[in-house]
Amino acid sequence: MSASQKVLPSGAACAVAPPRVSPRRVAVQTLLHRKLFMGCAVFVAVLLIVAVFAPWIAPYPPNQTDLLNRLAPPSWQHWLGTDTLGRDTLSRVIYGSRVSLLVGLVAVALSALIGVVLGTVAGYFGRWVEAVVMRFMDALMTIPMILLALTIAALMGGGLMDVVVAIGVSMIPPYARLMCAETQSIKRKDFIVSLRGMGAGGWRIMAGHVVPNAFSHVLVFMTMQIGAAILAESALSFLGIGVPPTVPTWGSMVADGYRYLFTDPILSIAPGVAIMATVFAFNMIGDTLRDVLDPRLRGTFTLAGKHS
Amino acid sequence: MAGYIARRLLQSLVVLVIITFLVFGIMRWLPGDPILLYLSSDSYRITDAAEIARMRHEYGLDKPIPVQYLDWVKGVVQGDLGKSITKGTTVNEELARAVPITLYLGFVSFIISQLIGIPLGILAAIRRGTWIDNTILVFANLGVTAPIFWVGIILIYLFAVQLKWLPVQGYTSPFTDFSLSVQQLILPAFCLALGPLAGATRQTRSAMLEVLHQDYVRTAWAKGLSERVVIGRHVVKNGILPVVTLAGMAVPMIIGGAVLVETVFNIPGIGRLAVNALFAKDYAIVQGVVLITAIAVIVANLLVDLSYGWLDPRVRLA
Repeated sequence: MSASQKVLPSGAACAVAPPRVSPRRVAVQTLLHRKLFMGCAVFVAVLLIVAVFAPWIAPYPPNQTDLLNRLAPPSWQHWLGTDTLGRDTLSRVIYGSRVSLLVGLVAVALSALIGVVLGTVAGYFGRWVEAVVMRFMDALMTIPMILLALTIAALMGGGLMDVVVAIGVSMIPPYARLMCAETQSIKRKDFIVSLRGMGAGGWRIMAGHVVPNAFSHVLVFMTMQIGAAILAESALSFLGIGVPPTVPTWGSMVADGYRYLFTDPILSIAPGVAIMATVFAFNMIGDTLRDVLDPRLRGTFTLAGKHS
Repeated sequence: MAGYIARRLLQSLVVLVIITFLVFGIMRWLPGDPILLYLSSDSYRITDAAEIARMRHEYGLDKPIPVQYLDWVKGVVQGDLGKSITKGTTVNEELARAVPITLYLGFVSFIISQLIGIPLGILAAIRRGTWIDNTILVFANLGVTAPIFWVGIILIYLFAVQLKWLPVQGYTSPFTDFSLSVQQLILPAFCLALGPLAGATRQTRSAMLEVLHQDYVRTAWAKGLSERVVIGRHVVKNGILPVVTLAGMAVPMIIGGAVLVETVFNIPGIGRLAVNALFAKDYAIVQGVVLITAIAVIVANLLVDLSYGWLDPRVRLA
């Protein structure tokens, strides 16, 4: 921590010029020094491994029923007990990570893709294009995200892809706003003006120069949105408008367990803890990346850096 | 100021028109014929083509889409949101029953979130780096992380099942039985307040931190003013503006959260109404709820922007 404070002084404190260090090395070092960030990164890595290798890691198949062992309390055979059909809770939590991560990552990628295209086009062409696109985004933003995602998912039918699309669409507006503002500032830069002077077309400038220059911001923002997407998926599954009931998801497990809250609270608690830990880890990674990589906030970061 | 207000009003109107497009478009554009879906549901089995045609006609679904849209907008402007296909009531009746309940719950949650969140944010900022700041930050981060439907269940388990201090769930109007109504409201209101509370804390903290380093704050300290005066009169008063924005953003958060909280606590507000209508494929109700919600959010945003102008003369004059 002390190393990063030496190389990242803020404003007036910087009376003695610090030695020149490449910003990338500073960022990497700072990230490595933040214990909470590293903890969250390790957690996410483990979670990814668990999700990919679920069939080998889970002690039981997620839908294997054992009617003689219904609602069993935690034991050495079933670490987190079993549910109303005798299915192993731990195995279902492990399998549940698959849907959460898949939906979270794909929905964020989808919303970023559409949002970046809309925002770039709006920001580059300006005038009525910008007015139309951005007012549409304003309108989309007035509908609470959960309500919008819920409506789209329910109307589409509610398979895995429908949930991804519903959450993805409802998360487009912030990307469009971010990208529109970025494009407006980038397109005034000299290198874009000279590109135009050399005869480069609008689409080529947008795809080849504007988007790559704003990409780090988008990437940081995407990391910050993964947690929100996972939370939205769990909410849809909880309400029962999500993936089919045979697929184990954390949200639907919380809903199923709710009915046995008086006798077997662990059925609701366990998947909820999984949601919370996962979202917390992704949010922390996103926040830290923003602090370290987003230059506008870098000054405040060293001051607030103590709280890691 | 008048020009500023007029401009903002016009902008809100445009957004509102687009919302009617979106609300109507989403319903019609996505797959699924409302009449067929409804008639094929378990409660109702009709396969007679004439009957289907009759119902289609009754609900105006046999007209071209643009005409349906105009009919719907005409009704909306006149305050008529249409008929519920499944319940046989009007959407207005359903909303009149549900909106006050969500308003009551949401208002209490909003007050809780701001009353606790803002002071916590100020405290964290002026005690930056201490254990107080760390504790508040951890809780604020957990608050934006926790799935509120799960928090609701945990609260029910702790306070209703284990400690038996509060009723498990349900809703009673404060006019019927005030004390029971308050008891039933505590858990859902707190649960719903959690997200906006954590948001307010984080936002207030960072807004305060920005102001704490300004020259005039140093001057105030140098003058020998007490901490109370420096923080209260100089830091908070100047730094509170961004917090007002977040208070506006709390409105969609609370309505979105109500969808989940009302399901967990079995409260018949607009969130439950929307969820039930979606399951029943009752488009008219869903349209009504989304529209009302969007209008509430637009009004909240408008109020935020206007209060900005009122709180900060620089915005007004710009």
